[in-house]
Amino acid sequence: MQSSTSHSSLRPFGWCVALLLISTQSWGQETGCISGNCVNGQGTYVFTNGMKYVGEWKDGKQHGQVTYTSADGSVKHLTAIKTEAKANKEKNFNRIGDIMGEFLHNYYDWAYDFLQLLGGYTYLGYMLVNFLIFIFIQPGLIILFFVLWRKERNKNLRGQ
Amino acid sequence: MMEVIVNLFQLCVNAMYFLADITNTTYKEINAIVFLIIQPGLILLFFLLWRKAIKKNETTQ
Repeated sequence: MQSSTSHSSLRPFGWCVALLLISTQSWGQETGCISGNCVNGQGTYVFTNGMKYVGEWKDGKQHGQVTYTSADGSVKHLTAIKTEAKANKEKNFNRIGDIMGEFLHNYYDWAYDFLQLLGGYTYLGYMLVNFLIFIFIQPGLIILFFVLWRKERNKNLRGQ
Repeated sequence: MMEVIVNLFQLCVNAMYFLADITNTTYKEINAIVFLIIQPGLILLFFLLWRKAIKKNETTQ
């Protein structure tokens, strides 16, 4: 009894140690905008997880051609996000309507900023957080609740 | 592992651009519609249907 009490009292200490170990991974490493202009122009941004983004920036977001480099520097990718011409073309071909379009654009921007924040906070990075939430967790929850609903429905039909 | 994730992420981005082109919407709009409206909507719908089915089972027993 006494042993379990002492173990539970040590649990917050264990969490603190774990968080400290995770946070020290980024010690000694310069983070944030390390060179150039990361709002409008060419700039290099290093996230707390070590992921480095080098390329063009517009209104504080990655734009055009961006190079992604992992923390150990072994993975490098040149990724085309969206060019000005493509953005203008999309704007001209917007068929949903100005109000709906503006709402969806603002909703997307809000979600983008939130994922950037979450990516930095969890040390996973924007891309991984985006991937986990929208490709794994959300579809997983849809399948889970669908299966649970069908199971209960079948149970109900058998009972009648 | 990171390389696989980056490639899959890029694949999804390209798929969204393709979907935006065929639906005459923008990349941002189709992203918001699919991932921020339809997917959470489906989660909520199936969750509510599941809870409703449980309650129905409880009342019939």
